[in-house]
Amino acid sequence: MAKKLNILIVDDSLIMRVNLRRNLEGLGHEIVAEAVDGGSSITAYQKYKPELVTMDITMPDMDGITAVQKIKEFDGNANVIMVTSHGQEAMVMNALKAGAKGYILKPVSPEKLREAIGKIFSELESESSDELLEEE
Amino acid sequence: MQSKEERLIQQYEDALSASDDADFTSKDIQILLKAYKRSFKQLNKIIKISDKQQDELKEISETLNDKTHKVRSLLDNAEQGFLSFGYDFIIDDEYSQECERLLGSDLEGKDIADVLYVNDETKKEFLKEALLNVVNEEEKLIKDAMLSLLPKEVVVNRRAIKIDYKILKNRTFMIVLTNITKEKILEKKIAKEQEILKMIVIVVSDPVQFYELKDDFEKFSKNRRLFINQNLSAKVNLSEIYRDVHTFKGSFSQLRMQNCVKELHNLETKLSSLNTQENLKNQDLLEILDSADMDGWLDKDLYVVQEILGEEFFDKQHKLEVDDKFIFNIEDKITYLLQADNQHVNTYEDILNEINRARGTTLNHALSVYPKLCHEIAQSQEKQLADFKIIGGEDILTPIHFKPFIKSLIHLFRNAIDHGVEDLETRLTLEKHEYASISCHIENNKDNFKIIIADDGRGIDVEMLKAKAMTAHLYSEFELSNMSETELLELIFLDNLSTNDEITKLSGRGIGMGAVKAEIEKLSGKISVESTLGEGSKFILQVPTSMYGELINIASNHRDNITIEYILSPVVNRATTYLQSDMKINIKNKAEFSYVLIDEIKLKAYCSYIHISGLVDVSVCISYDQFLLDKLLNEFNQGHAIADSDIAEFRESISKEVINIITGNALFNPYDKTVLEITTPSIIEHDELIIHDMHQKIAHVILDTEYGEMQILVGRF
Amino acid sequence: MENLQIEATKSSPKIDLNAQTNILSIVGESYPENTAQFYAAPFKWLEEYLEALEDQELIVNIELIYFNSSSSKVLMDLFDILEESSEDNKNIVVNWIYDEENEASLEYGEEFAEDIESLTFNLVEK
Repeated sequence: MAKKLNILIVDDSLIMRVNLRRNLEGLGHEIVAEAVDGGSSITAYQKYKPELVTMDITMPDMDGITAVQKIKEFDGNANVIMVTSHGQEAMVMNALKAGAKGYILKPVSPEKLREAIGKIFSELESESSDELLEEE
Repeated sequence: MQSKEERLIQQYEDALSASDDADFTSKDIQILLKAYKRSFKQLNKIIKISDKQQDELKEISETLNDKTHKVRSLLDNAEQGFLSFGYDFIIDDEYSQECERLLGSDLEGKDIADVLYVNDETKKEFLKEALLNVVNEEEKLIKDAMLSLLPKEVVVNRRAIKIDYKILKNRTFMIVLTNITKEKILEKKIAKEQEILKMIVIVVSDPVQFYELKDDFEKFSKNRRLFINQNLSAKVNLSEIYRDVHTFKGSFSQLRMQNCVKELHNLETKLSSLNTQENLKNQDLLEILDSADMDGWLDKDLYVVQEILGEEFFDKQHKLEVDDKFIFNIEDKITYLLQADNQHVNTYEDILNEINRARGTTLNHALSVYPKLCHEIAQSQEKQLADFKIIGGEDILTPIHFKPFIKSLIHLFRNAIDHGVEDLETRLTLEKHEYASISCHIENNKDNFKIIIADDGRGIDVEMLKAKAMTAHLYSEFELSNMSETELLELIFLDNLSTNDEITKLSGRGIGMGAVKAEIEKLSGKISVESTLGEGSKFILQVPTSMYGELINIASNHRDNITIEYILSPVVNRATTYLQSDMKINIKNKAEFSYVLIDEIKLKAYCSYIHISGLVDVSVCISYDQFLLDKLLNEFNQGHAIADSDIAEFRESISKEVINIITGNALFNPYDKTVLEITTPSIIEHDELIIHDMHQKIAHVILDTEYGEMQILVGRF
Repeated sequence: MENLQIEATKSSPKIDLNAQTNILSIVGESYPENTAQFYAAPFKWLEEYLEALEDQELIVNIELIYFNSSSSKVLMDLFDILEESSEDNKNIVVNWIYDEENEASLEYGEEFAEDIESLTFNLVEK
């Protein structure tokens, strides 16, 4: 069974925060905080030290990429997953260079979340990724 | 470092060089001999060991060759290309045969980016940068994520190739190439078939659009030379022609007529390359146009339609249901232009003529049935009627919705003959001309037009009218006595709705006048009557022309077309799939876009907007009916209830989120390095749409669902 | 006496000469660019050591999976020196360690052993 994580959700959209919270809690995780922009996400990270952060790429004021940089400055081991509606390679590449560990393309689904989280915390998961056919 | 023997020899050498007559005893010689033997033995041993080592080496070498051969064999037969390259991106010597088949021979020593993306510098850069990012990244997770962003497919030498990347030790990359051309061809084939089906569906469900386009294009083809105005520079002509070609391409695209789209696109490219040509002459343009087999292109698509729908489809008469607003305003615009710019007279008149032809009816033409009809009626009543023609109205178009009104005029004419025109005898007695005359004049004024139908018959008997009105209990005597002449005459338009046979026929003017009045009033017009008893009557029907609203700016802005269409199509497609697949909301209509003016747009209750810049500069606005928005909210929120106090905030949020997802997804093309910047969504109120140019065309699409409508706007605002 | 330790490189073996434990070992591959230069220090140390050696048992472990011709000469010189000491009544044991999988290595050991008379020279499977 996957480990329960403390997660910080960063997104300027109310409905996305609600949606992500629901999905993540449904997967058994705990949401320790929500932040509505890049700036407050850094403060929140410093305060709550979550094990995982979901970060929207496009936000007004400070964008997701800058926020990731700053969070990684504070904690080099931070786990951040970018959430983006457009997987424009250049932007996502920049996010990964800044230290994000993965990305999810909107619309978000529990499966996508589980997969992205699973990749980061895979040593704690015992399922192998080798798919086999059903037994006859 | 010396061995024992070497030291010994050194000793004796030193002794020798020290004194000339050094004496060496047999013992010395024995020692030397022993040392020599030992050295000799050692040398032999070394050689023997060396030989053994070489044997070993040979064996290993053979085994290696063997294995290499086997592996090579495996790889070459694998039907996949394996090749490797280092951080310098130079392809290593060892690669499997399939690589040659796919990428060309003599790959070793070449730069992999050059081989994959021959001319595309941007893609080459991205590939190299991305690969280096991957290796510089230590965390496996991020590495994998970056790997997933690398290009997965590429086309080289007209083959579609799938690429898988592996990072090896020793600072080496390996890529595995798989030929997926067959699959791609099949995909394309299926897509083509689907397009054909779509075309058929569109053509069958909306043949009007199809015929319009077919006719327009055939005309364009026939008149192509006319588009080259010798009085203008080639560049100007080029610009206009390009615009037209581009517009046609768009129209054919809407109808999914693939061949025309393809050919027009090629023509566009040709024309576009001319733009940079120095000394461009009209003759050059002419040549290009002449060489385009436009009719052939059309035929090819038509052939497909015909194959499936049969020849009869083309023989069917088609009625044109044209947007009247549009026609009327074209006419106005052309009239205005005709005054301002005499140079284009021919073109515009042509266009006008075409409109008329297409529309089929000018007002004059529409009424032209009546003279003949009148004669027939007159004849049946044994009355004599002078020939008459409809005068005027050749320059007024009759929109479709005028038809009922025009049809109703039969009553006017019929009544004129029935009740107006006296029989021959009476007329002669009254010293009137034996041939009664009916006239129909059409006056075209700035704000309205008038149809004046007059006869020289009896005139209207007001007293009779009064009597009838009273009998039918429509007015009281008192009321009637207070009416003016005009008002009394207007009684004629009263229809009695009673089904009572006795009163069905009113003498004087009969039934039907009411119908005429009703019809003209539907057109915001009015009907009035003048009459002199014994001399005749005159009906004046006045219809305003300004009721059709604002002018639509039909001058298409070339640049706008490109940017709007570039964005519109994928956005609408994604919106459609989002509603249907993601949110399970059924769309009732076929999404068709139209261009509208900014003040014709009625935004719905909830509206959000984003701006796109970069390669294009355009905004997208999506607005929703509340019910639909709430349904989306509900789906997104997985059915959980939302407190009333929060609902407003949630609605705002979801409307922004949806436009974010739709445009983001729509404009994401992993194989295209086009960079677009998309702003974060904002909410706007109805009146907030800020436009730069009042005459901007905005593309407008409505998706109609059972929960309400989603309105998508794309344009510059 | 100080111990001598030389870290292995791609082309030279790890040399561990320990006067306290009286174990000398040469492990790895030997094909240095300049064999004489490389082995100069170890040989010097060995000279000193042998001089000081009394009746402690000296164990020399050699585990070379590859050695070039110059190195063969060095090895034979080494064995000569050790044999001499052994004849001087010093207690010396040489172990030629080879991998069972590597037949050639055993053969090389046998070749060396052939010319050795009084020195205790063992062929030891790893």
